[in-house]
Amino acid sequence: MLENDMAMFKLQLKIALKEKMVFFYTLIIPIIMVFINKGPSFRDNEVLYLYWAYIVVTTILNGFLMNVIQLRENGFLKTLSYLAGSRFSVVMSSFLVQLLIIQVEILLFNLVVTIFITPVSPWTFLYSFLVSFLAVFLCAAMLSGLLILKVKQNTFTVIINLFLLIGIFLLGIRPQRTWNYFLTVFNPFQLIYGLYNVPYTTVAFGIFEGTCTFVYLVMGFFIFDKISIKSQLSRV
Amino acid sequence: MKIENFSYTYGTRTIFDQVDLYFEDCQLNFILGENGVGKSTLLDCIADVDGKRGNNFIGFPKPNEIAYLSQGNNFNFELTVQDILQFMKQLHGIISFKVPVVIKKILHVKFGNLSGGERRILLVFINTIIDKDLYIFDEPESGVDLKHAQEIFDWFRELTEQGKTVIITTHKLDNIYDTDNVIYLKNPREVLSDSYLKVKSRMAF
Repeated sequence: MLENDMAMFKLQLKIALKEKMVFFYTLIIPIIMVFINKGPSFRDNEVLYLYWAYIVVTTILNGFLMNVIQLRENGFLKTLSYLAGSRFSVVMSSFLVQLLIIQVEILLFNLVVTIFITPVSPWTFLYSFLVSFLAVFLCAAMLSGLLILKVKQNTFTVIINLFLLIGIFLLGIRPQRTWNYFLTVFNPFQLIYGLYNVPYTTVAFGIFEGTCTFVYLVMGFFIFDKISIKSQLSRV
Repeated sequence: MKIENFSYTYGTRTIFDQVDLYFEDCQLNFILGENGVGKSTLLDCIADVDGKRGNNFIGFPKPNEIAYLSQGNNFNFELTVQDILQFMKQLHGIISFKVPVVIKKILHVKFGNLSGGERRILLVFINTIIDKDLYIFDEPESGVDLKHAQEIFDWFRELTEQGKTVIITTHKLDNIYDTDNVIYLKNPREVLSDSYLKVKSRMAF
């Protein structure tokens, strides 16, 4: 059924590219922010990780999870699942499209930083490309719990926006010790930032980050395995 | 295909209580009954939407061998009819098809700008051009004018000529032939399954 998966991927990509407003939140805002925050203390890697984490989390939230919820509540997920013969094909194609978009967004972001702010090393480009694969899976798995919520789409949008605001605010305060561990468990921005930052952290924090990653990936697997194609709020 | 000893409750409401239902292969099977009697619920169970279909569903194909159009099914509003047909052509098991005149007229219109009836015709059409063993349609003619409703039922009869089984819920009886199989859901405990002619003679429509 590779044909169906490919067809679904192309369709989801076409739909994603029509939603241009999303790119304002996920790409343009971090680019604007990096220009606002640039200064003599702007260092290559660690600062970049904050922006990469922002791009991953906002794209997964707006592009993937919101998309799956909209598909399900509008009856589109049911339509596509029976046409393609599998609900996983629909969900996976949506995820892979967002993975591709995130890779392109991070590449563009790094290029903008290289051209206008400070050179980004080729190793950092490669590092962002490789680690982002795991970061995207981890972020989708961590946030998959939102798919279980039985709330209206508008309420869900409000929750996501609050979530983003609080997450960004907390990311800015650079937590230490216990507070850092706590936020890594509950704040997706911090978790993804921590993942990118593993080479520069302590062994203990690296093990903690690895454990969180494993637990969230297992949780995400079970949630996506049981995902319903039926609307949670109405009989679609 | 048959369902034996079928029971289903929705909250505290009993929808089906130990009933048997029969469907004829390679024919049109119509499910009739009043609003809220459980027609759509029955279709969801046959299509195995929840993945919980029991062993009492005998002879039904797996979900990936079923085409199912429920009442609330939709498509992305930004895609044009041409985009949707293009997508369909790339899917595995598409039967070679000729685009009907009614759809040719709306090829460049976005799905979100179609009327309710046009959306329904398009959704029915794309579900009939994919090769499956069983086709399920929940009120396919809802919102569609008489002329095009007739055309939709012609598509269904072409499917049965190709050896496919079709299950349809409807409130309109004009398109049912006497020889078609009808499942009349009278109440949670009483279901009639027979040819339309025989069911008609036992029930007052």
